[in-house]
Amino acid sequence: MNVTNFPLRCWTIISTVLSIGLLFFLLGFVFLKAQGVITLNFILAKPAGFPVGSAGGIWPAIAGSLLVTLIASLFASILAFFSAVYMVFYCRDARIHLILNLIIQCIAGIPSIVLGLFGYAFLVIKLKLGLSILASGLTLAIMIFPFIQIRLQKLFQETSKQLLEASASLGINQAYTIFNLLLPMYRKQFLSIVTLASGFAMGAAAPVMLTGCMMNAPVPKSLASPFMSLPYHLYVLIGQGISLENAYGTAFVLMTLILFLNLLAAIPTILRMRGKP
Amino acid sequence: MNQTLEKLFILLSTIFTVISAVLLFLVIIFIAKESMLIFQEVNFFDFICGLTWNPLAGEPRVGILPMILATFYVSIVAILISLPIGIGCALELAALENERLKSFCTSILGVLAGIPSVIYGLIGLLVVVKFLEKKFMLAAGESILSGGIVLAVMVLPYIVSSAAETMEKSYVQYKETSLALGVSKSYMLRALILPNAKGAILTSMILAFSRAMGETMAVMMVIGNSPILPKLLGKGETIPALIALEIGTAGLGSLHYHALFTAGFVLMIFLIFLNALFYTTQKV
Amino acid sequence: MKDHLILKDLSVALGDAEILRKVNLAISRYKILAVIGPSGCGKTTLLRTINRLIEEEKQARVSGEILFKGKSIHQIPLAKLRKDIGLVFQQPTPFPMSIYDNLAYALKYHGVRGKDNLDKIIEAKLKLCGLYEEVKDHLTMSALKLSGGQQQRLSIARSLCVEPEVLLMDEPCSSLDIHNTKIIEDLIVKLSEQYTIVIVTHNLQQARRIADYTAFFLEGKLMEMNNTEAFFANPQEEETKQYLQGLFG
Repeated sequence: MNVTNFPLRCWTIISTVLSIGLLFFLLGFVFLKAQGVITLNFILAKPAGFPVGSAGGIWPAIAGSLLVTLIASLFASILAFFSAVYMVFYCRDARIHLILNLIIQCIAGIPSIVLGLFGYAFLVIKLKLGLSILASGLTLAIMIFPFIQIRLQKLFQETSKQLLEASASLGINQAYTIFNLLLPMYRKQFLSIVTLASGFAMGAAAPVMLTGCMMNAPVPKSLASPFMSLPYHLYVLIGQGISLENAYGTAFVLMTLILFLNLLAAIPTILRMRGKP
Repeated sequence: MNQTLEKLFILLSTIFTVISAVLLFLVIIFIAKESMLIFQEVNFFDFICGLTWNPLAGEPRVGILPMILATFYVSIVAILISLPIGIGCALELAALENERLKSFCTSILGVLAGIPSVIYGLIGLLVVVKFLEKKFMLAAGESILSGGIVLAVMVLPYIVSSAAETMEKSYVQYKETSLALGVSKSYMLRALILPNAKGAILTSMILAFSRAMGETMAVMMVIGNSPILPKLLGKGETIPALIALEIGTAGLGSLHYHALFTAGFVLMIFLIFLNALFYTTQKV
Repeated sequence: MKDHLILKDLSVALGDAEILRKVNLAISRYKILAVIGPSGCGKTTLLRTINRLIEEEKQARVSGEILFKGKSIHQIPLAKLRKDIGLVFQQPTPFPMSIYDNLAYALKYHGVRGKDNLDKIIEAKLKLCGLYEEVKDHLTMSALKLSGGQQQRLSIARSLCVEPEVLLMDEPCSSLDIHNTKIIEDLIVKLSEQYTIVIVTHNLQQARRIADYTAFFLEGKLMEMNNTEAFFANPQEEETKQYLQGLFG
């Protein structure tokens, strides 16, 4: 072995072990600390005690997080799907294409706290949605929309040209081709992109704390109700020193949900890898 | 029937594309509108360069220079820590022959990128901050340094994945030619792949930097949040943290409220600019 | 109208590059026309211009006229035109779905309803292409699992499902082995009882074996066209002679 290569290999291998080890450290830390906190009661009960959150459970936060994530993913994926379709299949002008790409890249660059400000000033105040799960869901939708759109557009662009031409040669229009050929073909990847994006939405605290998320609220009954969310609940428990134990428990639940979403999103990749060495 | 569907489809996709394009301008205009009002009372230069933030005093002062500096400071510290590790990891992954191991590592990095920032904040508070307190005998470990360390961990997956992509391409492209010359893999990585990835490394830095500057929760939980000029081992407050902490108590339409929007506006314009830069460097 | 398809002064340019220059030719119903010539002479573009796929390219400019059954192809609705003039590609293009769904895909679009109707047409077209016996028990299997030759016959059957009158084929055998080439060639001859066929090939022997007429293209121009026997036995142009002797391309 060439001696001068030794430091380089050391560097790359240590970096890799550090990066990969990090996840296991995070998981181990949260899971170990949360031992004993996680009970059925913790998951299914409402927050209680004084200050609120020092006792009881986190069920409204779990439900709130799931619902707001659902709303965000729904709006974001509809918006992302149609704009990706437009840009790949209908936009003929190279300049417009470039500008739209730039715009979407810029939306991706807006920091989440500023989206929170926008959600507050525009959705909550101007559109009179009030501090509500709908306002939060829409704000989160803007946040994850570029993530979905960029990946979906890439997916569509990589479709073999021949397949599209074969369909066109049968006298078939774009809409039918997209619905009956592309969507079934990309169903798994589409779902996995949206799932990954919904993980980001679920973990975000900054946009929701300005637009409808509360320290204590029941499971939302309508789109206009305020709600609780796991990341914000976790932040409050820590930030105001209410209960470190319950914070660990909340972190555990949030982590588990996110890991579950990641796993779900990875299924197509895992299936594809199975045949390979 | 088919034609009607096609027309409907074109209409829908055009409408949604217009909506998504309008969204950007809507956000910019709305934040700008709420921001501009402040300049009736404070001039722009005093706002950006003012050293005192005390919007609730009898004679309110709204200078955000300490926050701007703190935002840059933590992000730079984060990049300095994260870049060497990220590039090392990217090199290793680019040259990894074992497909399964590579895909395993890539998924781990994906999961890391998806972990909520509050969880990074929680662990930062309990591990990094505690460690700094012991190590440097500080009264409080909440500091620019701890913010930088936590952010370094958070941007690491972005640096790795964006750099590894380019390195992998050039590795695949030159592998056989290089091996045919009888040089070792490590030599090739050092002499060919690494220099060749300069552009990609710059791109990944820009991306990571913009992530770091826009991050709210994790930084806010470990940085101490006092609006003073930042020092590495002292407290500081970033713009996102300032907004998140104070918007709840700022009265709608007050000077305080508008000042927070203006701070957000300044940050947003800078980050949009960075992202446009990222997009163009990526294209070249 | 005796001639099924007529090209009048057809020119095509992609950006600055002229691909076809002033092509004039006519094809009669139920005949096979083989188009030969070196790579890059515009053979594929010719086919893509006839079913207007070329117009999907951003820089394409087409002048001249193409008459299908005496009517300009621009006066026929695009969907109808492409339904009437099918195109089979060089590489087999099975859609990533089952064999049955591949064939039902276009049928459903063009308004064929009811499982019985679909089944009947699909079975007939599979039989015509000699694929029925091989796949009848596996109709729900993914089409991607078929062999290359089977995939190409499936692609042909799929084009036939929408009842075209003309079938354009772009080197349909170039990715196949000798055995499968033979099967497809026999199929093409059989299909010419019901369809007019234009086949692009760079296999001279193939043109000789199956075509009624042969046309030779060079640098976008139609150099010579004649009935196949006369074309090969007695080429008129110097370039044709050279090409047939294997001097270029």
